[in-house]
Amino acid sequence: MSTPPAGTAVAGPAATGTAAGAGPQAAGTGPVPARRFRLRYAVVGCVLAGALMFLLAEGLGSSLNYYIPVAQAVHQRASLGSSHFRLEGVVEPGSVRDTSEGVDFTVTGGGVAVPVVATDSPPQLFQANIPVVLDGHFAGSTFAADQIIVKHSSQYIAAHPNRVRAPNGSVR
Amino acid sequence: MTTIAPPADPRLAEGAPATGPDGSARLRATLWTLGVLGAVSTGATVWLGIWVTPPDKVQGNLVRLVYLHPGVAWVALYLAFGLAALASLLYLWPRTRSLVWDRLAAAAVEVGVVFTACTLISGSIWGRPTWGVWWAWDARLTSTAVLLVLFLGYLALRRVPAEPHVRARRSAFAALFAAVDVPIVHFSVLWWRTLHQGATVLNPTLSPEIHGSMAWTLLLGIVALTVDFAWMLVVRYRIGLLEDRLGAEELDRAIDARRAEGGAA
Amino acid sequence: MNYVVAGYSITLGILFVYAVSLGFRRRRLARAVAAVEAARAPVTPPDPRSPQ
Repeated sequence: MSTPPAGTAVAGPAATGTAAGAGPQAAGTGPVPARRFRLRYAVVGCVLAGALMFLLAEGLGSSLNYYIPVAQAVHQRASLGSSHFRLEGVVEPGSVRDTSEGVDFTVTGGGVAVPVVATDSPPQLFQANIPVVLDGHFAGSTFAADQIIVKHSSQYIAAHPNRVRAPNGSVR
Repeated sequence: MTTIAPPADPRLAEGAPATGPDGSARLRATLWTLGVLGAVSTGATVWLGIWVTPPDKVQGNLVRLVYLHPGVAWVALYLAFGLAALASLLYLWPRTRSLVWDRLAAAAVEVGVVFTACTLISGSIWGRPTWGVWWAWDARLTSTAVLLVLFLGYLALRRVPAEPHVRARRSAFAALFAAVDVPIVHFSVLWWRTLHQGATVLNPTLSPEIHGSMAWTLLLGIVALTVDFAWMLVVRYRIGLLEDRLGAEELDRAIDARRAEGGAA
Repeated sequence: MNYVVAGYSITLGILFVYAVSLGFRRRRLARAVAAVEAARAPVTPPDPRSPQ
């Protein structure tokens, strides 16, 4: 069974003009107008999806940043005050000193260095030259951190390039 | 001749094979092949990943988790949800409208949800020793969690009783809406500052930052999980087909029973 | 290394359990369909297939 093409001209304009909100019920009037409604829904859906993407990217954009890099944080130190935020930088070699409460070190980035007083036992991968994200606040010229998170890069490098066979899985 | 009236029972006419409930011999052979390939390649990935590849310079043995996590995420995000979005589009497009696409989208989403959960779990298990935390509310992790919730909503929506084509239409829109989050998850590491590292292989310059046996193992892991996904998808599709077939049979029986009652009275 | 072993076993374990459950679901449905169709077979006319 098929609809003659003439039906398009008859049912088309009237139906599209009146029953915009009719939704699935409009399908009963014939396949051709129903198809137009679906196209309209698809267009509306695409616009909504695009708007959502735009909102997420633009509106929430800056607040979705997990941390502030050292250079930017130092630049905004006045406005940041003693508010809580996450600071990101690279652990400067030779600056790490264990303390009774945690660890002291310096983070660098963008040519700026900030001394850190951390009251948290560092994660196992904490070491010199590794990027870290510190949860805390500025206290004078130093940054008081109550949590240290290691930020791993997307690079994977073999530890022993000349030894293909690693120790058995049970080791370490 | 552009439009075709819906057949008497769309569930039987669209994609239902004339074969028995166990499927054709070819289907069974395909499933067997996929199953063996998937099991062997997954096993090989575990062997290479845990015993053969070297430890990483920075993270030591923890790098071994990296052979699993990206493959699982690849299947969830791009294969499963990508396929679900494509199938939903094909259903909504009038020329290709068929319950075959609806069933495929449903199958892909269900498998995709399982893989997304595995992505979050495997990532969490890597994050605890590497970052020092099980979870961080950064853009990548949050958008992935949102993705899981959105597609769980899709599966819930499918359970609302409705006519097959009403449900298919509704589900297709839901899938397309949820799939908007897929590119957000992918680009989140570029658009925002995240704790999660950027892409190692599919980075903007497409220059992999992993080499040698580590790279090959990562690649094998992705292939292995893709094959596993294919097996699960085919079986899940068959389940949808059989459910519809059973539903149609029961409907017919109910109609027959009603008719018999009417005839007796 | 404990994390590595846990990661592999939990992740692959979930996928394996899901795959097995899919197999069982498919088999149970196939049996149900076979039973229903066998019961109907003598009285049902062939499926009215539309020329799609």
